Formats: sequence, C-alpha cells, structure tokens
Amino acid sequence: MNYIDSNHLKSLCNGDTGFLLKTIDSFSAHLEDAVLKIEGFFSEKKWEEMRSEAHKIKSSAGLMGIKTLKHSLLVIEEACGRKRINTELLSIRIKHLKEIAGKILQELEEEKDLYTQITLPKN
Amino acid sequence: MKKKELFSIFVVDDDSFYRDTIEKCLKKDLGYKIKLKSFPTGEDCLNAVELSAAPPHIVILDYHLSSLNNTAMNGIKILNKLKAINRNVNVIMLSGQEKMEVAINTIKWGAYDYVIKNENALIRLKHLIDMIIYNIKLKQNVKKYEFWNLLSAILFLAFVLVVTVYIRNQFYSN
Repeated sequence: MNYIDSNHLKSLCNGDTGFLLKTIDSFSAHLEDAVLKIEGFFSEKKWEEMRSEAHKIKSSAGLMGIKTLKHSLLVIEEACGRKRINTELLSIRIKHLKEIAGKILQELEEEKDLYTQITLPKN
Repeated sequence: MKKKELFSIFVVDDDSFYRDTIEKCLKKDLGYKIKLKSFPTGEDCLNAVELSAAPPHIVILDYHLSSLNNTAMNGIKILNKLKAINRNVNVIMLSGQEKMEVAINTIKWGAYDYVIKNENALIRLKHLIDMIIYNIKLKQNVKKYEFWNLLSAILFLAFVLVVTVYIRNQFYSN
C-alpha cells in the first residue's frame, strides 16, 4: 500500500526539488519525534498532552497529503479527549500508528532517493 | 518598470513544521512582493502588531495554539484582540477541526475565512490571499479615483469662479 501521494508532494513544492527534499527531511524528523512523544505521553498517562501532540502532527500529515496517517492520528486525538480512556484500545491505536509511521518514513526515504538521483548532476 | 507593492503577512501556528512549510510555500509561490513573519504563539503576534508602525495586511491564524504553552490564548481570543487593535486587518483562521460551528464562530468574530488543515489547505490559502490582495488594490484604486474626482470638481469650480469674477469685472468696468 502506498501512503504517500507523490503528485501531492510535487504540487506542494511546485516542482522545486530542493524544497521537496528539505520538506521531506523536515516532516520525517517531525513525525519520528511526534510518535516518540505520543508513546511517552501514553506511558505517563498524560492524555491532554498526547491529544495535543496528535492534533499537531495530524495537521502536518494533512498538509503532506498523507490521509491514512491523518486518520490514525484523528482516532488517537479523539480517544484521548474522552472522559473514560480505554488504555487497551489506545495502546493498539498507538501500535498501529507506529507501524504506519515506519512505513511512511520508508516511503518518504524512497521518494527522497528518487529525487536526489534526479537532482544530482551526471559526471 | 512599476515597483511592486509590498504586502505583509503574519503566520501564527504552534506547529513549527506547518508554520515553516506554509511560510516557504507562500514566499515561493505568491506573485506578490510579500514581507512574511511567523510566530509560534498568538501573544507574540499581538506584540509584533502593537509594535509595528502599520498592521499586517493579512494574518493567518491557527485555532489551537496551546501545544507549546497550556496557558497560551486560543485563536478566537487572538482574533478578537487583533480586531480590537485594527478592525481592518484580514484574518484567515486555520484549524484541524472540520466542525461547522467552529467555522461559523470564527466568521462571526470577524475572520475573513476559515481554512481546514487538510491536503487542500495551501491551495485555499493562496486563493484567499489573492482575493484579499485584489480587494485591497480595488479599495486603493477607488480612493485614488475619488481623490481625482474631487480634485477635478474643485478645479472646475475654481475655473467657473474665476470666469464669473472676470465677466463681472468686465461688466462693471464698462
């Protein structure tokens, strides 16, 4: 399954390959950091912080056009906002988030390699 | 060549990735000369607006601004304060929420429009900025037109007065 929409990324960066590579790097770092924070907040049972982090990265996922990730984060955000937190279900949601985040990071890396090859001058 | 007019845009978002990407995309893609400043909190933006000689033409303001600081004011409060400083400032609200009531509330409090942070957000933002700048230019042209109209009316009246005085003088001198 492809999580990344290459056409959306191209249109976001308006064909500017250098900008696209920087945006991918920046988003990848942002996503890795957010997943770690969400895991940390879960283990510390800091639901409001966890909800806020999921909300924040959800918007960035939307900007990047990664709908599956956005949906996964929306589910976590909503679950954290409930009066009674179902920790078992939330733990499954986080596991799923980690899985798709890993695949997305891999796809972004592949996308980056593709554009790096295009950008590099031929000797 | 006619010098391009400078438009100032402020971006307020507590998410650094979102803020930086929006800033870079707007700087790169808009066909205007723009001065862009970005802020992680609404309070920082309010300080900058109060300190600047002229208010920004457009403020792109996120609804949720409390991820860095729990006590930070939300977008609606900042919108109210911005409108109190200058009611003509154009505020585009950004939010991850797709709830209709949130959108209606922001418009009710004076926002120019409401943009949901989805994959089309950037396209919508650019379109709204184009519309706002078109309206600003239109208002400036109307003001110029009104000025020249007034000036020509004054000149015409002055001419009529001079001619009347001249004819009157001629009449009495004879």
